[in-house]
Amino acid sequence: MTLAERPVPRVAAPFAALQRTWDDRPGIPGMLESVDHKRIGTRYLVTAFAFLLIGGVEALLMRLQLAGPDAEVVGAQAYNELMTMHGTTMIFLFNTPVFAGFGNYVLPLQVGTRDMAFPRLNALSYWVYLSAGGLLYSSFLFGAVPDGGWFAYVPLSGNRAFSGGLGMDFWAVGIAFLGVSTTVGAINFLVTAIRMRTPGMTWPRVPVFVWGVVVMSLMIVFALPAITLAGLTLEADRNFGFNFFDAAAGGEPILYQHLFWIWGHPEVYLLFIPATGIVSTIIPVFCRRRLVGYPLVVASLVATGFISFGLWLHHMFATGVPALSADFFSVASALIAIPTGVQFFAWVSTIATAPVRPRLEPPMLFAVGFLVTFLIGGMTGIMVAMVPFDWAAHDSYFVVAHFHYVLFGGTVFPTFAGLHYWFPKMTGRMLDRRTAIVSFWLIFAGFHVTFFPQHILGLMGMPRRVYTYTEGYGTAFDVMNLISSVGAFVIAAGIALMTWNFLRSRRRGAEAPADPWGADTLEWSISSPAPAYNYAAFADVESHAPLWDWDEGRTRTAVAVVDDEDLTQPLGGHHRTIVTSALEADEVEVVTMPSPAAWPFALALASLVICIGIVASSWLIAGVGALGVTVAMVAWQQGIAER
Amino acid sequence: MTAAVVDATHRTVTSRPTGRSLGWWGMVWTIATEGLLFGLLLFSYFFIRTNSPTWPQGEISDPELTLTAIRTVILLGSTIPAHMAHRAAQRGDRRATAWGLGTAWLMGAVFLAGHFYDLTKELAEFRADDNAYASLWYAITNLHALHVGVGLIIFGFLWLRTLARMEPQGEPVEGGVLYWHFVDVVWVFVYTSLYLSVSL
Repeated sequence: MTLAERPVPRVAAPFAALQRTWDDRPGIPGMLESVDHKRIGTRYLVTAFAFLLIGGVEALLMRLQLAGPDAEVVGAQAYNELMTMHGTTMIFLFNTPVFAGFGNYVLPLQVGTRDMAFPRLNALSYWVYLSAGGLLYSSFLFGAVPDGGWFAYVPLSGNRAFSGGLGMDFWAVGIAFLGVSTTVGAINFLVTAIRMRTPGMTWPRVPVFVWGVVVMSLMIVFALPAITLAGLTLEADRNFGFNFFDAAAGGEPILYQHLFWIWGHPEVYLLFIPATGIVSTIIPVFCRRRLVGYPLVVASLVATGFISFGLWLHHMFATGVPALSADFFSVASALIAIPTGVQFFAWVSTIATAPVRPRLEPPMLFAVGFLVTFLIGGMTGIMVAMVPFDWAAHDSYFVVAHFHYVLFGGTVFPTFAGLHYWFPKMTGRMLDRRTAIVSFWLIFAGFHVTFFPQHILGLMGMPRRVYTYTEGYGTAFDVMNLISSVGAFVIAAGIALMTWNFLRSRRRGAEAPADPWGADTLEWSISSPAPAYNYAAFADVESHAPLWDWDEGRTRTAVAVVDDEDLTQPLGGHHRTIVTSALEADEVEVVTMPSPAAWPFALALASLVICIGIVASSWLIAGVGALGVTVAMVAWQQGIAER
Repeated sequence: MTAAVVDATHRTVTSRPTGRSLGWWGMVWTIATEGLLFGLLLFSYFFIRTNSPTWPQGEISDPELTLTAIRTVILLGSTIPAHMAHRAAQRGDRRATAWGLGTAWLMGAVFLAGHFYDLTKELAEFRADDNAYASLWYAITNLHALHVGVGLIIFGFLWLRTLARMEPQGEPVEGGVLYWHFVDVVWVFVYTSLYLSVSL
C-alpha cells in the first residue's frame, strides 16, 4: 500500500485552537518575533542557498580567469578576494548553516515534538548567522574584501603590514561572531534530541538523520571553540598589537595552523555526517526497505565523529612536523575509511536488496550521484592521507579536486537530495519532476567535467591559489583548464534551472499530499505544509520507521497526558508541549515553552554593532552595542512563563 | 484528549517530573564548549612556552603568588555557599538560598577586586603588546575574570529573584550554581599553569 492511501489526520475543532496558539502574528512583527522552528529552518535554508549562489558566482569568475593562460579577466588582487570569499562562503555561510536549516526543520518533526528546546535561542542563532554573513559581505561596500585565503594563515593574515586594509579584520571578527550562532544552534539540537523525543522513541528508535544532527552537534560543541579562538587571537594580533603568532615577539606562527585545523578537520566531517544522515533517510524510502545495518550505520556516525578529532595534523604534513606525529595522523586519516566504508556498504546493500525496483525520483538521483562522486573523493582521500604522496601533492590542484569531490560530492549532493525530498513538506507543493531530473544531470555531469581534470592538472604540477599560469605548459594543460571552466558553467546552468524550479513550484507546483514518497518517519504523518503546532497528539513509536510499522498493521497509538486533561487546549496563549526522560523517553512531563519575542533579533543586532565597533576600532560603536546587548538580555526574560 | 488523530488508540500517561530541566542540559553543553575554549587557550600557552628559550619572556618578572593564593582560596571556598544555595533551593528554603547566593557573590566579588588590583600593578610593569607571554597572560587571566563577572551577574540576578519571592527557584539556581562551579574549576587550571608552574 502506498502512503497516499493511508488515512490522514482529519481536521477537528482543537486543531483550529492549536493553530491560533502556535501561529505567528501576521506582518513584520510576527516575522521578527517568530520562534517557529519550521520558519527558522526555512530561513536558514533559503539564506544558505542564497550564499551558495553568491559563492558559485565567485567560483565562475575564478574559472573565467583560469580558462586560458595569461588571462587578465579579474587580475591578481580580485582573484585573491574571490578565492578567499568563495571558500569562506561555501564552508561558513552555506555548508554549515544549510545543515542547521535541515536540522531545524526536520529534527523536531522527526522526533515528534512541537518545538525546539530553546525556541528563542533558536531565533537568535538564525539572526546571528544572518548578521555575521552580512558583516562579512559588507566588506565589499568598503572595498576591504578579505584576501588572505579562507584559512587566513599567519604571518600573511596576522599583520597589517602584510595584509593591509580591514579585509582580514572583517574575516576574523565575522568568523568568531558566526561561531556564536553555530554553537548555540548545536546545543539546542542536542537538548531537543535528548529531552523532546516523542514517547517510546528510545535511542535505538531515533531516525538516522536525527542521529546525524546529534553527532554533528556534539562535534560542534567540541570543535567550534578552536575557530573562535583562532579568529579572536588573529584579530587581537592584527588590531590590538598582541603577539600570539608573531615570531619576532616570541609568538608561534604554526600555532595558528594548529588552532585552525583542530576546528577545521572535525568541521569537514561535521558537514559530512548530517549529509550521510540525509542519504540514509532517502535511500530506504525509495527502495521501500528499512536501512540495512541501522545500528552499524549509527555506530559509524559516532566513530567518524570521534576519529575526526585525531586528523587535523594531516593538513600540516608539509610544515615539518615530527615523523612520528605524522605517522600517527596518517594512520588515523586512513582509519576513517572503515566507518565510512561500513556506511557505504549499508547503502549499497539497501539498494541491492530492495523488494521493489528503486524509484529514481529526484531525491534518489541526487543520493546516487552522491554515492558515485563521494566514492572517488574517498579514494583520493586515502591517497593524500599517505605522507609521501601528500608531500608530492600538497598545495596542488590534486588537493583542490579531492576536497571538491568530498565536499561537493559528499555534502552538496545530499543537500540537494534533501531539498528535493523535503520541499513538499515545507511548501505543500511538488517540484516539477522533469525539470529536477534535467537539473540533476547538468549538475552531475558539470561537476565531473569541472573537477576530474583538476586531479591530472595537480599531478602535472599546477599549484593551487595562483591567479594565472603562463603559456608553454603544453596543450593538455591548457585544454584541461578550459574544460574545467566549461564544466563550471554547466554546473551553473544546472543550479540555475534548479533554483527556477524551486521558485516556480513554490507557487505553481501540484499540491503535495501528506506523504508523497511513501516515507517512514513521523513528519510524513501530518499535512503538507506542516501545521504551526506540528502534532496535535504525540505518537507512541515502536521503531525508527513508525509509519511503516503502521502500514504493516501495528496499532497506531497516541499519548494522552492526563494531568493537563487536554494538551490540545491552548493555555493563556502559551506554547505547551511535552518533554520526556533522556534515555527511554517513557516518563512524560508537560512544559510551557517561551512565546515568540523580538528580543533575539534585537540581541543579534546589538552584537553586530559590537563587531562593527571592533572592525572599525571604535570604542564608541562597540560601547553602544554593549549597551544594546545588556538591554536585550535583560528584556529577554519577558514572556517566559513560570512553570 | 478529544478527537486528535484518526485511527489512533490512546495511551494515557500522567505528567510527572522527568529529570533535570532543559536549562540544566543547556548549561552542561555550554560548559563543555567553554571548557574546550579554555583548554585550547592553555594548549596555546604551553605550545608557545615549550618553544620559548625563557619564560616569562623579556624582562617580565615571575608571577606574584601570595595574594593570588589568597584569592584562589576565596574563590574555591565560594563553591561551598553556592552548593548550599543549590541544596536550599531544591528544598524550597528561600531564606537559606538567598544567604548562600549572597555569600558566594561576595566571595566572588572579592576575587574579582583582587584581579583588578593585580591588573593595575601588572599593567605598570608590562603590556599585552610586549611579547607573546604578555599577550597570553592578559588574554587568559582576563577571559577568566570575564567569566567570574558573568557569574556575579547571574548570581545577583538569582539573588534578587529569590528575595522577590519568585517561585519556584530550583531550576535557575541549579544552572547558575553549575556555571559557578565550572568557573572555579577553570581557575584551578589557570592558577596551576600560569602561576604555580612558573613561580615554584
